[in-house]
Amino acid sequence: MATPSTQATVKLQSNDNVVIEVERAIAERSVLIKNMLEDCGEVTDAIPISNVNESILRKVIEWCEHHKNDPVAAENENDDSRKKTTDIDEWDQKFMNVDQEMLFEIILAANFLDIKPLLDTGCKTVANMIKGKSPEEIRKLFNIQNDFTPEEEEQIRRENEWAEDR
Amino acid sequence: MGVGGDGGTGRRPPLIEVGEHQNNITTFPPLTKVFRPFFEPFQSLPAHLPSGMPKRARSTSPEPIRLQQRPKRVRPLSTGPPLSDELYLRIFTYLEITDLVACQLVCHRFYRIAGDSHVWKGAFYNSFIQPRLRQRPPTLTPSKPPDNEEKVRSQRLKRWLDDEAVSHTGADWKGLYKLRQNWLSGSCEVSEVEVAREGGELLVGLKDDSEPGFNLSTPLPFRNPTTLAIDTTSTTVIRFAIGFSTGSIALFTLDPTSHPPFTRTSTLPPSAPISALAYTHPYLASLTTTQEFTLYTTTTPTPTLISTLQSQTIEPPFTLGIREAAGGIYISIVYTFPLVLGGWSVGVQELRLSSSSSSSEIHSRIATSVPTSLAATSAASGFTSLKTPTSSLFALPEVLTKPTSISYSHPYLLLSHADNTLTVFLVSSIPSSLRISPGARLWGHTSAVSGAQVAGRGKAVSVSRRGGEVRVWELEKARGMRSVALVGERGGDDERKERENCWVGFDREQIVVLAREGNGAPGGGEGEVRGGRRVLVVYDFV
Repeated sequence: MATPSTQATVKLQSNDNVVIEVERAIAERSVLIKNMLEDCGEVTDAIPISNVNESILRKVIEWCEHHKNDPVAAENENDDSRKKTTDIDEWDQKFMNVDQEMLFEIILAANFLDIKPLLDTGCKTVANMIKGKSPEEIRKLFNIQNDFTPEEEEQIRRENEWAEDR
Repeated sequence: MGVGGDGGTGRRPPLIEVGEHQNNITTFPPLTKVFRPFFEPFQSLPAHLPSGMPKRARSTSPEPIRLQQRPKRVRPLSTGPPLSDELYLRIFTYLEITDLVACQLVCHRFYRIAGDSHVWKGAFYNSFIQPRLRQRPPTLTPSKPPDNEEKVRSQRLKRWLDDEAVSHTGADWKGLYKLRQNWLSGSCEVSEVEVAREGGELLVGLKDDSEPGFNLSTPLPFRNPTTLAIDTTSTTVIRFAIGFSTGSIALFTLDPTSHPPFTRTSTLPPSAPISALAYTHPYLASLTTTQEFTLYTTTTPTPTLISTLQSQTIEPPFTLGIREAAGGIYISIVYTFPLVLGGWSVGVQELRLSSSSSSSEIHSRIATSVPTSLAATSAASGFTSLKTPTSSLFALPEVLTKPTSISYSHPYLLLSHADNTLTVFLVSSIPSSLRISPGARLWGHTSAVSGAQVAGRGKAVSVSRRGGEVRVWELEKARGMRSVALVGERGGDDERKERENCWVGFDREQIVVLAREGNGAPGGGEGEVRGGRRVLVVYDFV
């Protein structure tokens, strides 16, 4: 990752026009920004992060700062053969302890900016919220309307019967 | 692009426009092209983007979007959080099966995403593949430390995927998970098909094949068939061989798309009654009750003889196997022999046909589960007429009762006994030696076991002689050789006719047991009833 960097910082501009200056190494936790910088070389203008607002952008930068020195995960790790754990380290848990709306915005920003470890953490957080809940509880949790007819519900129940008596 | 258009709602728009959401979200068309499904590796930007950040900047934000005053809590989002399907998919991959099933009941959209094959593929790996990857494959030889751990791992992964027949893309992973789960828990649906009311010997074969359209049952008008062997190499047609008590062997091809579906491809002349056959195109191996072993290539119209061997010392049950492996074609003859002090043991003779020469160079070697010096007859040395470098592994004598059946699928050798047990051996066949491991007894049945079948990946099924006792075994050592009794849902009929289970076979989706009813005569004689009503009992795990 040691790109010969002439530039110590980069400016990021949120979609509400706030320019935030961050260390280049921190900004490069975002693969999107990293690739941009690699392709363009010197960038003195602020980089518009066009669908992330200031508060989320600051939040994301906070995460990147904390994880600045994390090793970059191997790219070719096979998604499927990897054991999926939903363990989240303590700092990240605190970091993700935000209201739901913000949580989803962090996930969206991480996805857009291509920060895979942050995206994973966000997804795990949501998965942990779902775990052990009944369908009705999940609906309440995310404010989702039940759009099944009773017949449909019954049919799905039957279809998945085999998985329940485990 | 109408950036200010949504100013009124003030809600921050999500990235992607998805179905039902249309009326309460706004999309950013230019951004969607940066969005990729997460299961593609995040490697680089799409090819058209690198040409410039400036270009992107121009196209996406000629004028910045103003959403400063984000109002708190504009609810409800009645269709849930504003995430794309791909992101939900990503979230769901972290869930357990029970949670996935709960998610499927939430709403239509969740039903679809939580049922996605990608999610279940991950679950399948985690539940069934991953635990095996950490274990060593069944082996008798001390395995060398792998010089390249990752390579070995991926090779094993690939092999197991082949085992599961799931390496192909587009598999129904949820269906596969369910199938696997049902096998593990022994839950299946039971149905019965009557195949004969009376008549002579009935042979059943099962070909592991997911091809539909092979569901036909046509009696072939032959007298006294004794054995049946099905070739599994072709996926389009079924080739099979039938051995008769006259000693002749007939080869057939069954192609359901042609008329008539059966074609008799060749016939071998009579000799002694055939007691075992193995057919792997283009090789056919036969063993007669007079202990004569013959190997052919199945050229038409008359098969070509490759080799004949004769033995004096072996006893049924026999089984033959043909498999292709490094170094050529391996033909295995598995037999039992009596011991001096009483009891029985098992031996394997392996013939290797080197694929290099057409002049059919044959190498032979033998392994037995006890030293041959303990054999009752002069030598349990299998078949002679060839130089046989015999190697016997000295192990504690494993004295068995006479097996009721033998099944061999390399490296597993499974014997069933009338004393309610089974014995499993591992056969190690490496260039320098052929060995049979000490046997391991398998308990679980509560009555005499009349038949058992094992498949290469260590799955086995056994059936008791009387009653409907069927067990499924996992014979991989690392997994503890456990078994489960079937808890099939039997269709209402409770009539407990006295039945004798004659044969058992299985494929990926079902177990089939051929059962014979004692002519309906209660308390009928102990003598073997020929004929009578025969039914196939099908245990379906799908």
